Amino acid sequence: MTTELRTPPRVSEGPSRRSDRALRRASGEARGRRLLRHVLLILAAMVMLYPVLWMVAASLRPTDEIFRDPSLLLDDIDLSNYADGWSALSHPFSVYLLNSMIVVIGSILGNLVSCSLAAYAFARLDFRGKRVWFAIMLVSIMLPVHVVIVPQYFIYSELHWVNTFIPLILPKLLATDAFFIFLMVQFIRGIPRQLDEAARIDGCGHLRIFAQVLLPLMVPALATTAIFTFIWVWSDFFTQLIFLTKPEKYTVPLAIRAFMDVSSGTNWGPMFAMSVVSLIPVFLVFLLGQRFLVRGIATTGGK
Amino acid sequence: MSALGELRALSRRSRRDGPRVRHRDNRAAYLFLLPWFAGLLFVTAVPMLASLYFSFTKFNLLQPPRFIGLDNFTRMFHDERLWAALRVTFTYVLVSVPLQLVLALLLAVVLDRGVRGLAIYRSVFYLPSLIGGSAAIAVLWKQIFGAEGLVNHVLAFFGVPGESWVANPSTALSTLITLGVWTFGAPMVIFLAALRQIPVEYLEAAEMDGAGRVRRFWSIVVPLLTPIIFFNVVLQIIGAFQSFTQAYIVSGGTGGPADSTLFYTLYLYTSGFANLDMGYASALAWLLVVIIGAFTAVNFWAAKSWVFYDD
Amino acid sequence: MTARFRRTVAASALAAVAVMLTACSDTTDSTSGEDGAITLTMTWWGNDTRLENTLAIIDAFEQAHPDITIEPTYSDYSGYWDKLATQTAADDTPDIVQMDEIYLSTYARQGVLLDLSALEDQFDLSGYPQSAIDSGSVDGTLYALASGAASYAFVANTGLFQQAGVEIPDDTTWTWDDFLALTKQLSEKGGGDYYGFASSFGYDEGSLRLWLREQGETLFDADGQVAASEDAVAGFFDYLTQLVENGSTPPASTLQEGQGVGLSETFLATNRVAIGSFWNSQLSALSDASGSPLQLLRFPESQGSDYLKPSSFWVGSGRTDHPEAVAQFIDFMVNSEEAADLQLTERGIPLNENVRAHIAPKLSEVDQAAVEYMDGLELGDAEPVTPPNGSQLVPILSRYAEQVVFGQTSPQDAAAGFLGELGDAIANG
Repeated sequence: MTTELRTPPRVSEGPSRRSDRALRRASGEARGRRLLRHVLLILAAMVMLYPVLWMVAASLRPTDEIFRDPSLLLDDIDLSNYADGWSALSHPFSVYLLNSMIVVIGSILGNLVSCSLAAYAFARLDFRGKRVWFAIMLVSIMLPVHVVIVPQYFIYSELHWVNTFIPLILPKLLATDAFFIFLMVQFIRGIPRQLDEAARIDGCGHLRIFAQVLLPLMVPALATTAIFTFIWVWSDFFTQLIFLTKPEKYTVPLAIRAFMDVSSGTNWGPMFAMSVVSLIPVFLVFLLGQRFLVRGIATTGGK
Repeated sequence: MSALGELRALSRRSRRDGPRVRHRDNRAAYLFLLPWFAGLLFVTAVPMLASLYFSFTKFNLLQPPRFIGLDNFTRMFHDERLWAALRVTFTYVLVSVPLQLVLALLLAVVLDRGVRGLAIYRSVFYLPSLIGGSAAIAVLWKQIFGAEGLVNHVLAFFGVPGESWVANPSTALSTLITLGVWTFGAPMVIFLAALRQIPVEYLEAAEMDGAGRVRRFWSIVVPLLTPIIFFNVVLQIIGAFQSFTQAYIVSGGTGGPADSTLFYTLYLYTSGFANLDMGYASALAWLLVVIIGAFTAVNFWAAKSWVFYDD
Repeated sequence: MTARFRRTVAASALAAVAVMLTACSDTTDSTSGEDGAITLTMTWWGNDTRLENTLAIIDAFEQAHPDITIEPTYSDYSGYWDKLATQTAADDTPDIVQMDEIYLSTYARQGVLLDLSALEDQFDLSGYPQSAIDSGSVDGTLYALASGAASYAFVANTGLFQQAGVEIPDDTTWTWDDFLALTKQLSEKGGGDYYGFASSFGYDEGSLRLWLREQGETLFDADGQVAASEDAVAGFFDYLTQLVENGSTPPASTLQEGQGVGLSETFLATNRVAIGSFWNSQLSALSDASGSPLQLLRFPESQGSDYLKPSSFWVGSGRTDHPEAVAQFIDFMVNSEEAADLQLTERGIPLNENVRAHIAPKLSEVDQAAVEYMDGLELGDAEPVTPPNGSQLVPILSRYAEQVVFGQTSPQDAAAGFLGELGDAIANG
């Protein structure tokens, strides 16, 4: 595993200085400490996971039993919620998954490209009004979405873009997620400047410095951006609610809410089942994506 | 402290070595910023200015806005619910942000290396953040902090009778703070990514010099991590001030019981959409911008004394 | 490469992106049509059961009117209003809209809604009592037709009554004092496993309105002003505190936990209280969730005070290009036997008496009980239409109810605060 890169075994230093007995005791202690760490981590993980497990358990029960029976244990496994939930709405649930996927992939590409370009300018270039622009960028994430969404809707409605994915993807292509710009700025500032200055002396232009020197070093930041964009866009309800109207364009969060109703009752079984289904892609992306975080070191550490 | 000084000196020395010509790269910068400028112009600025304009109007969404001067702003002074919202929000920010960041950093360091099954642990600890904003969380939270939830079952085991935590005005906010802290996955991932970026050579050099693990953490890892710690502090504060979804879902959109979980943006949203008073909501939004802006400015000012940049 | 050239390239790249994006966008206008074909957009709130019924009704309508196509949208209740307000702000109101009573006048007075009086020839209104027509009218103009109505009532879990060995009371003679004593007795029998009473009573509009009507008052008057007296509201809050202090309900925080939840999570549906308060149309959903036999009971002392709340209206957009088609659809929705067969009582018990008679034999036993309950009521005058901004009623009421239940405010102060805030909200409307 690449993780081990960071702590290479150092066989050569120990024995010359320490006695055998001390060494054995040390390794015993180390094993004890490792075990303790696992126990603590597993305990913490169980606390973290209880609600998630409860949701999975609930999705395997008939709706009318969910709130009568608080335990995690199942008498028998009932998969009918999954079957019902998948086909309960006007389109099969796969349509909503696909729509969400389109929006998410567009958003990730948009954020990766546009935010890293902007971050390079803010972190490495010296230009007029830099501090002011940077402040404006920060202010743009301080304004709550609820008051800008109405004027945004006006614009997109004029352009006939409502009910398309454009209002959801275009802003990402145009680096409006200042969170990620700032994140990448901080990462780039953590990369020694000598590297790009060396490249500049070799005659590289900014585009090459950015693409060939910095980008490879920013893999952890890019992976973070991709993962977060995935998760946040995947679970974003409000903007998708406002901008998408036709059921065939609905995304997963909209579809899941379609099981809920306060006055006539929520169909919890299918709702939990589809919530679990919608968690799977995110969980997988995280499992795979965090390997990229790890691969990041191979590049950084290898230099 | 001294470690930070050493690193600073080191980087200053290296900077003196290389020829560092100070010149402006306006043209290149604007090209790199082109998408962002376009976004600012088309996506961000117009709606922002529109909301600024709305803040001086009476605007119920169904009829065109009508200019009313500063009325929305003067109304704030007698709005008791606004003060309730500010109290709730400040409590949330001041308690949840430090807890969340400390927990995130701690687990990031633990999960950074050397434990078998790292990928699994990391994903498990991240899982809560995935469902933290989902519609199911209201129900899940009641399963834990409700009258017959997990917490009370555990308390009952020790013979302590417990009441509902989510539905009691004096404890409801604490359960939401817990929920906020529980979803510490985002800053943890950012810390993990940042830990990856620390050059191994630094740590190796320190280890050769005989620095122990704790010392290596404080004098190398932490200083090199300060830009990212700073990032997390700034953005977690901004995020906590804007915290909405969880309170919205758990309280059913009311901020109840008895306004005890009336987060600022929840109040703003209710004013704008439920009460159809987008003018007042916009005024509230700009007050929030001023508050968050002040916090952020203080953060940036303070950062000069503790954040270390290698450039 | 000159700087200027580079700039031009960048600019045209951006333009190209914009063109590409526009090209794949859907620019068809929802109401445009060639060769007489009409497309109407339509929106409602509700869960997937309602979705299934409604799509079937749309199909049936399209079969009967091949020249009209309906484009449906749906969402959950709270998101629904955010979206509708935003769409209305941008003049994008869907042609056909499901409307809640508490929002009706807010939208009607802004000129957003289609005047149905002018289209009266499109409707068969013979089966409607005058009160039903009035409830959809604002300032004398008919804007809305209700697909169904409901009446506020207590619901008793007869299974728990049996378990407690307590008789179901006679709901034509009981008093509020009887109710207090009965629910206390049930709580004592339950010994913590179940309680006598818990619901949104005190927090919701139905309980307040019915309470006030029993006092000879109404919450709003016909002019859209707040008409209830402080004493009457204080009495209502006071009764709520008595229920809690008396032990009729679970402890305050537990009672609070049952607020704002879906039907299937209410204490009655989970068999943890013997009595709850609901709209009678919710009976079948409650029985499904609880699995126990349930029975509707009238509010104590309610003879001549009961009223019907239209459970959901259909309205048209004032900006629609096809008012006749909209009217045809609404008529089909609320008056046709085909639509009634498909949705039965899912949107409330039909107000059109012909339709109600038509579906009666097709209903389940539980639904029939709900209809019989409603038919047996001695109704008072129709409840005045909620004035604009009256949708704030429930959030304000439940906030004061919370303060009362947790002892933060006295019933008298809460009543004053509630009426003051509600009056302000309406004056602001």
